[in-house]
Amino acid sequence: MIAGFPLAEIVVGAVALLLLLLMTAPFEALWWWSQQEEPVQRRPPREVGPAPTEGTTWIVYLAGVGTASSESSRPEQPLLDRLRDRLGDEAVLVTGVFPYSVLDHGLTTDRDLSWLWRVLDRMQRRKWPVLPLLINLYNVFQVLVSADRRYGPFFSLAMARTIWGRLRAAGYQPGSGDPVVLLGWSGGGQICLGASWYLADQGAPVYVLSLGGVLSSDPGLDRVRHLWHLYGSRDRVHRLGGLLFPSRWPTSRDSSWNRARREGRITTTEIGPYTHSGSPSYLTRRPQPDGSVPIEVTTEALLGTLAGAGLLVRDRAR
Amino acid sequence: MLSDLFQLVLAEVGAALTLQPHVSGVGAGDQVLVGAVLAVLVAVSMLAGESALLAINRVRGLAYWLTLVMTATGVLLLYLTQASLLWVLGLAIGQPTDWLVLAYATLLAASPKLLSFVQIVPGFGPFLGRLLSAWGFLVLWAVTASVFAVGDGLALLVAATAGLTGLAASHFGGPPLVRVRDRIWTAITGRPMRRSSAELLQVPGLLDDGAVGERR
Repeated sequence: MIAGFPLAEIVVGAVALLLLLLMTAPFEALWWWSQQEEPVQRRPPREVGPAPTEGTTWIVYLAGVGTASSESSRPEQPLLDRLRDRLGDEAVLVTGVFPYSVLDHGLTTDRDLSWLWRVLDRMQRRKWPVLPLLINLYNVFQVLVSADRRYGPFFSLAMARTIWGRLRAAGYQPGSGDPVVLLGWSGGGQICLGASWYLADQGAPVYVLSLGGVLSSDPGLDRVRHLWHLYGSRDRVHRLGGLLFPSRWPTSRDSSWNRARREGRITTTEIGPYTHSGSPSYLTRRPQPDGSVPIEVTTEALLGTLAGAGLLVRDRAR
Repeated sequence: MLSDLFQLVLAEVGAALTLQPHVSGVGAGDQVLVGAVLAVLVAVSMLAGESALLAINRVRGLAYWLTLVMTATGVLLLYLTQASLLWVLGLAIGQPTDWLVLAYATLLAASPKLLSFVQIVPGFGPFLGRLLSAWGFLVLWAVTASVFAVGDGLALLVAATAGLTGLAASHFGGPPLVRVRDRIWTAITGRPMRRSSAELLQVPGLLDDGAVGERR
């Protein structure tokens, strides 16, 4: 105790709380699975993914770990607005999936502690320090659930079902061969990889576009046609994936990640001197001393990647 | 009575976890009780840590209790086998010791496994499990030194021999036992036991209409 301040007790309490939150993180996914009937195998395995057609490209956006619900205002909304404007009729942008809940419930609705998350969400929008980080923490733990070999297969199944439902509601035709691009920001990148396995099983050619994503060597990579990982040179968070997940280390030669790398299905591109969530970040709208506007650079990088891969209509027409 | 027993278990476990086991300070009758309680608690904790496997196989109700009994029996068998190994090693180093004392000592070495529930933690759970195994080995080393009244060097050699032989036994003896367990499971539930949730990835068409749906 330093001058009456119970530092040790606070540290022990914080560690215990962290461990408790970590231990309860998989509960929602476990509960979801317990509510499902035993899966019925209705068809034999089919060749995954026909050749992509020249039809519409469907882009599904999964938000970063700072989001409290699919409805709440997000820092990346201006990026989505720019993408939608620039894409026009060349691709369909599907949003509204909350990637950190197998139930597709945002934190601020339909939960016992919704009121608490709403308070934290308001605090986050008013840029209060520390406490709103609980939202990030909750979502980061769900990213760990997704990346865990034990929970990932059913967490990702639930997420894939949500994404598939949104795609079909938006007009995607199963079996059409229209390409599906999963665009994930931050932790959303990992959720994209996990869901890819099941989406590709539906015959959709699946691509993943990660913006500063924290990615594991998810089995979903085995069915991803290409993963583009865009990052800022000052973004330390995106590097965590390569450090925390041993199956991404060069020593795991046969992991999904290293296999995809060898097969040339992973492209990493540095797009500027951006941080993950500080300033300037990928989403900063203020012009920089060199005259560039980070959010515009990010938008261009995303569109340029899609165009370079022939996934935009205008590119095909040329 | 029950509270006395749990107090004794707590005291013994606490001493073992801090690597200061008092094996000889407990009567033979209490040793059997404490050992049995420890085996059951370790089994409960291990099952909590294996929630993913239980969930993917939909183990609940009677199936959960059966799994608990099987796990506790497995824990007892594993540690009693290790006790027998220690008994043989004790003879080899000229320190013959009562088998029951050794059985109790090896069960105390299972104390860190009481924390096996932390393996539920996503991402780092399996790593934490390995840390608990390493801690368990340190306790085994401490109880070996205490029971045989030998120096740390010889105790380490004996504990490592017992530990490695136990690992080899579970490596080679485990698969046949797992096959028996799987057959019993299939006979009772009518469906094969999944070894991991990764098996879900091999089921095609899970996003097809009606392939997975909420239970009614």
